[in-house]
Amino acid sequence: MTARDRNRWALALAGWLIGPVCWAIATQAGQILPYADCRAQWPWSLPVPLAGAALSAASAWLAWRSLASRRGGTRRGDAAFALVASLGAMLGLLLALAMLLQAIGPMVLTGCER
Amino acid sequence: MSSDARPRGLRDHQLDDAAGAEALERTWRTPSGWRGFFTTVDHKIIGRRYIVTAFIFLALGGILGLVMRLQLAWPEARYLDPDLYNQIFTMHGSNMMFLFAVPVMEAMGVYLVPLMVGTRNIAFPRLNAFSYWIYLAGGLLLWISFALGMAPDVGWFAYVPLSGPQYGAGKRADIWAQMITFTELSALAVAVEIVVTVLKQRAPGMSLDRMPLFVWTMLVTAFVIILAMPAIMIASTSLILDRLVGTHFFNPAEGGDVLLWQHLFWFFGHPEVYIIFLPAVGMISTILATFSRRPVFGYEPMVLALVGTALLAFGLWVHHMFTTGLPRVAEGFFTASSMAIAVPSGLQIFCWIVTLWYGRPVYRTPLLYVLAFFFTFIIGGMTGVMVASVPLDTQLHDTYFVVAHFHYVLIGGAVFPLLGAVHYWFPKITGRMPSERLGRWSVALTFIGFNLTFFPMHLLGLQGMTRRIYTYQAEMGWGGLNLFVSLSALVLAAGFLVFFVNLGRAARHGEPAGDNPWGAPTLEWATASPPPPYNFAMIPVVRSAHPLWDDEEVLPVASGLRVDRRELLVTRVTDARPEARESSPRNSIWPFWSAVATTIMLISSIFTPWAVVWGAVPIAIALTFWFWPRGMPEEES
Ligand code: HEM
Ligand SMILES: [Cu+2]
Repeated sequence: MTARDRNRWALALAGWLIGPVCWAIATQAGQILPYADCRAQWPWSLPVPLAGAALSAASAWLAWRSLASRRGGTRRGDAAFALVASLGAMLGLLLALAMLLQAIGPMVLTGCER
Repeated sequence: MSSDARPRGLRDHQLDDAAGAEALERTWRTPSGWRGFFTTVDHKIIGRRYIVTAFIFLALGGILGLVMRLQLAWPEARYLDPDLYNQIFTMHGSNMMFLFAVPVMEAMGVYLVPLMVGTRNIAFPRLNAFSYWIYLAGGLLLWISFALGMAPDVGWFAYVPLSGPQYGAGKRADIWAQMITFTELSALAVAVEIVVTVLKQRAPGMSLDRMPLFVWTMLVTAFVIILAMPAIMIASTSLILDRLVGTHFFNPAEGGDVLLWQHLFWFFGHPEVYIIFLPAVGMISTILATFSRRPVFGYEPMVLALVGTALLAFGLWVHHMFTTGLPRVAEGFFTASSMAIAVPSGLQIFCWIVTLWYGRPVYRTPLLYVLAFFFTFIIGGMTGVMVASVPLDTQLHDTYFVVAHFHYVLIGGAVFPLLGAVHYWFPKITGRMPSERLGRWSVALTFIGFNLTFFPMHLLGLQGMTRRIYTYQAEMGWGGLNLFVSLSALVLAAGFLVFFVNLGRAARHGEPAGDNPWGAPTLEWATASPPPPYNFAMIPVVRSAHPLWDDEEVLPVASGLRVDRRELLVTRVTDARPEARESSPRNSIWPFWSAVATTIMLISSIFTPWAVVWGAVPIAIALTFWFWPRGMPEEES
């Protein structure tokens, strides 16, 4: 693998990793922070999914960019790479959507409702 | 072996076709009789065995379903006493989920994945044999306990404190928990085999973007299993510890937590429904492509949908706990993911419909099952979105609405595609064609019977009928619908019966099938039906995602593997470029004995913790023989 190859694989895989990790953190924080929301009367659990969505969308963009750097050749590895990279991009978007939906809860509720 | 004396061993291209096939047959075959029965490591024999066993459990579980329907047909019926009813719904649910649905899907993978990727056996074939015996032992444990009148009675998710030391008397809950250990152990083993087979044993040229969709689904499912199953094994083990040695994992009085059980269970339990459903997705895509005579529309979106569903599946579990008093905001996070997962599902359904629309569909039995799936699964999906909303779920939780919902997704979403898939691959597995006429009858009866049985349960749920009740008073006014449901269940059962009769007859008297009776595009159809022990005489080389639809006269093949010992081709993860030749294990009795030793240890450990210590000794001995080195080089580049 050349350095350039390694680079574009890293970008493509960023789409696979960043979104899911952010979403896992947001989901977990969503179970912990509502107690703090209620006590402080401030939506602590809101910024986490919002930041996660932003990061995830950014990773989608990176993965998408890595696609453009593909050599356009007919080598077998290229088609496989294109699949991995575009999946990375789409996954990033899907998880960004999930986190945006998660952000709705803390916008309309105080955290004290049981 | 005398041939080992030769410097590099005998290669396939040094022999003509007939001699090559004969040599391969000698190398790969399973001896006949009892010896072969216990020692085989052939993925086809083990896969077939797995499938048949799982269908036997389906039939047994179905009979329990009918028994429950008999009891509920009339108000205040007295066929079953409350204790037996509790055992029966627990047996039904646990059996269907752990002994039928998950194993049968994996079994289809065990049989088909190596054929579809063009290799000669599954990775870790002895582990595969072991996993079957462990699965069988877990099934026997559950059913023997039922025969002895001491079956679990705590429901298929065995909530504490009901299943804990305080309320769960006797050994019933322990049997449930240990059955879990057996089935999860075998599931994890198969998952590992499938991951390695798919990533490292694909035929040359089958880069990631040319993998059949069914193989993708099995790969993704295997990862879900590896991530989800440990949670339930930890849960069931902690439960046994609480019950046997007095730990307090789930005892709030001593700093434990009852909700911890629900979190652990559903962290596994929700992904489990996708462990059942994702392989079904692969079956649907396969059947649709073959019978629409075109590749599935949108390969990339289909794979995205798979991966996206599998990921999001891990953030839904709290939707099973909406009524436990968690903060509403926290629950909202799970509603969000439960709604987001509708995006990949919708994408999938869209691609399938386009495939049918632009194809030239041939309406044979497997495709008809897929159509039955569409209708049923869409209803199940819609009620799923309904109960993903917290206020509605608070009303409907633990009512027959939920029973209706999950049977729509389980039977509609997984069993219908499975029946279609079994009908579809039956000619490959047995070499004989099932009857189309009986096939159509089975589709019609199961589809109509299913909807008549389960649709009214939505209404019963809305009228307030709770699940897991052994009877109800006439004044409730549920009698009419319940009788209707029970009668319809007979139609559904008749559909299953016709399905079994069809295959049973075809196995003996069916028309010979030939290699590729449906004109399908994937590699499993490129070899004889049933496939020879070595699967392919020469390893196929793949140039597209549907090799048998390409215009080539003969399938290109790779040569150079040895025929005088079991050898496979190892290829690169991304582009499947050949990397090495690797030996594949020979038959062995030790996976069987290891499974026996493990079974003895696991079952005794219900009674005394010391069983874990002493039981480890025979296991260690069996494993030593299993892995005894034979002084052969493992791989050559
Ligand atoms: C022959 C067809 C079937 C019939 C007539 C049937 C009937 C029933 C009934 C009446 C219940 C509710 C019992 C109660 O709450 O009192 C039930 C529960 C259940 N069924 Fe089925 N069923 C069938 C097939 C299946 C299949 C194929 C699966 C899974 C793949 C399945 C999975 C379950 C589960 C998980 C439960 C919950 C058990 C519990 O409450 O612990 N069933 N079934
Ligand atoms: Cu769920």
